[in-house]
Amino acid sequence: MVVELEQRNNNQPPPKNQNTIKTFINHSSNFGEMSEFKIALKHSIPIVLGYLPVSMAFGVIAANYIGSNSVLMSALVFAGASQFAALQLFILSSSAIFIVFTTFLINLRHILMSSFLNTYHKNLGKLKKVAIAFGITDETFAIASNGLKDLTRDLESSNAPNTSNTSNASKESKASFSPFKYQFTLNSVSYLSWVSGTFLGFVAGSMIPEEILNVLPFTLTALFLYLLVINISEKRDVGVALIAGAISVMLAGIAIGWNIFIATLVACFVGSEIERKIGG
Amino acid sequence: MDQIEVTLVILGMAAVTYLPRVLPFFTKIDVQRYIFLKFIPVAIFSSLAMPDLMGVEGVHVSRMVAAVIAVVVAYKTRRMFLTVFMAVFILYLIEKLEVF
Repeated sequence: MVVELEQRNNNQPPPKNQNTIKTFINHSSNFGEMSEFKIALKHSIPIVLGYLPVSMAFGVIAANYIGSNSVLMSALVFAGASQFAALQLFILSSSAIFIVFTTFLINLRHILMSSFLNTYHKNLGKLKKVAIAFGITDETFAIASNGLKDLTRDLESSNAPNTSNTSNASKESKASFSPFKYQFTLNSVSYLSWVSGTFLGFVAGSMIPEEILNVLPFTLTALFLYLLVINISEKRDVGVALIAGAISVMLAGIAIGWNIFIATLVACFVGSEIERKIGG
Repeated sequence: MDQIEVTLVILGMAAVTYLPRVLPFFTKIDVQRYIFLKFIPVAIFSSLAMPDLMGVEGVHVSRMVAAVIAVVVAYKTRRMFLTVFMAVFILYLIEKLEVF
């Protein structure tokens, strides 16, 4: 799997536009050549690589305790941390109410992610919002928040220079990029890998050698680290990241899911207070 | 708990997981007015990644080494695949060779 990843990495087609190759995401946001579908498909590869081993592990373990309900859980809940927690509670014969309530607490953090992503999707119709909301996870948020930022910024910058015929050009290219198509494709591919991974784990047990299965989930950690680094643009971002990381680590053992929620809120609050004091 | 009950619990889990995901898309509050929104990605990425590298009991040395390399590669090259690949590959080597 790891070798495969390297080959895929090397097999990237040579960049046609030298200006847009700074990051993979920037490189991909070449609208003339690639549709939202293809861009999202490429962006989803790290998620798929991270999801498959984790969901397979979930399927392997869950099959012993809740049978085919393990696949149902992945298909309906689609939230990794809470699924493992719920499985643990099923094994411990916890009450139904407690399992549901714990799930709610763990997944409450998505409220922050949906709030943020809604800034890109606020003009969508109800059905489309309902559809993409289902697929908001830590990982799809991570990729989409960054991908949408780059894709919309590229649009603005590519529209900015030619002031003579701005209105027509900007209308055309604005219409040519659909945040919905991008988000929906990204969510769908991630979802399919999560559910099919669970199914594979459920029916076939562990087929990947354990030593590889053990390190592949680190894909997701590395993905978060990459996104953290490229999102830091000023000193106060570093401060916000340090505060969030410290609180998250301290609370991780106590309250799964909540550590992320509380850490994010406190760090964002401190960041905005600093900004207000010294001026943004 | 029999399997029917498990299925019912899963339906409950699905409902309470979906609500926080969908409600912000329909809120009337203009979230962009709140200044702290712009810090959300940095704060979330950090709070997601850090517990994988250390716990209250200490640092996971092999993952921390891989993470430091990932951060350096990300900062220098700003390439996602290279970063992710290097991190996983280094971690694999460290665990395979039992460096720590």
